[in-house]
Amino acid sequence: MTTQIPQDDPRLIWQNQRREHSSMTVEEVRLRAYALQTRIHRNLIVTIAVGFALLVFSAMMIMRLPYTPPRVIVAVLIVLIVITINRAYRAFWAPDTLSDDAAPSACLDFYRRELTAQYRAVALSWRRLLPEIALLAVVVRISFMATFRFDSARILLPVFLAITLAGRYWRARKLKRELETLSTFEKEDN
Amino acid sequence: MPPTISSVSQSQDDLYKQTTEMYGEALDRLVRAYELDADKRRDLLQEIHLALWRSFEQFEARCSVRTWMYRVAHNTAASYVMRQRRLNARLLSLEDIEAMPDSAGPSGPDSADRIALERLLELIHQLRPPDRELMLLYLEDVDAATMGEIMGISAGNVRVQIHRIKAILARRFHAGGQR
Repeated sequence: MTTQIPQDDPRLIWQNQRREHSSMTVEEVRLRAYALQTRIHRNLIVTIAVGFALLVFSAMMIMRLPYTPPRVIVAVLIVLIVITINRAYRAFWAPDTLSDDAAPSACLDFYRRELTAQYRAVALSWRRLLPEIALLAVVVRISFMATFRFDSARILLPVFLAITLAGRYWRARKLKRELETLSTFEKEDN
Repeated sequence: MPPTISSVSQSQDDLYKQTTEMYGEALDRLVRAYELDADKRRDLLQEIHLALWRSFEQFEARCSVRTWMYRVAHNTAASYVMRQRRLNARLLSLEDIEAMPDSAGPSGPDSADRIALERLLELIHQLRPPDRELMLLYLEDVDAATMGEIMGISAGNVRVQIHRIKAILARRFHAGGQR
């Protein structure tokens, strides 16, 4: 920082900052890219391995469960696991191209996509919540029946669900407000 | 006009090297606007450099390298802000900042550049990603047409936003931003 910057000119103040870090060399960037790719591959291998373990576990559950409804739910779970394994497998062999998120789209488009993705992930739609509630019910039933009386689960499950739903509702509302603000921002014109 | 790189035939590495030579300092300033912690700032800068290098694999010279560089850098940084959001305070828009009473006092003749810069950074860190991007591009002296291209908004919208930024900066830094 120099000592003769007019303090009422923010642009000069901004542009005269002392440089903190030097740029990375191509070799450094390549090394980092290689490390990132290795980490991604390792995570994908872990995903595939855990997926197969869950598949075996789910198959055993289907054989042991006495009633049809829980079996159907575990079967749905198996389908989801297979889809995840398939995606991980394809990602593992895909060429190393830039992901959609990092693609150099205009900043507002990018921000809107990120917000929309987050909103969809937490939005309170029954289409998304029903399978989650069903899976949670199965997990609670299986785990609680073995150790506690099932009555406790009847209290804990609704409380847990209510907290989860409230949290998701609050987050979704916040994200929706941000999306609305972004739309207003885009429409502001002369 | 920003310097241009005739790039179609150039390799990814060459493009990266030339871009960081030309805009390395601007990138260094950009990360200050997104992260206060020095260690995390270095990590974010490296993340941006990596994203930039990888992005040049797709560069087809449909826009200037400067526009491309700012888009990649801002998008990477915005993504970073959104990941860190849970830990941060509520972010504001330019409109919110305009409506807020000015908490910082006027800078006296004995104020140091550092204090002025800190006030500027404090203001920038309160902004939501789109407003922050506009503010930074304005501070970097990027022209309105390029700002529109980087942000993906109309020239009229850029003018409205610049007017708002100038008003905020003028209020906080006396006659600053009135050029």
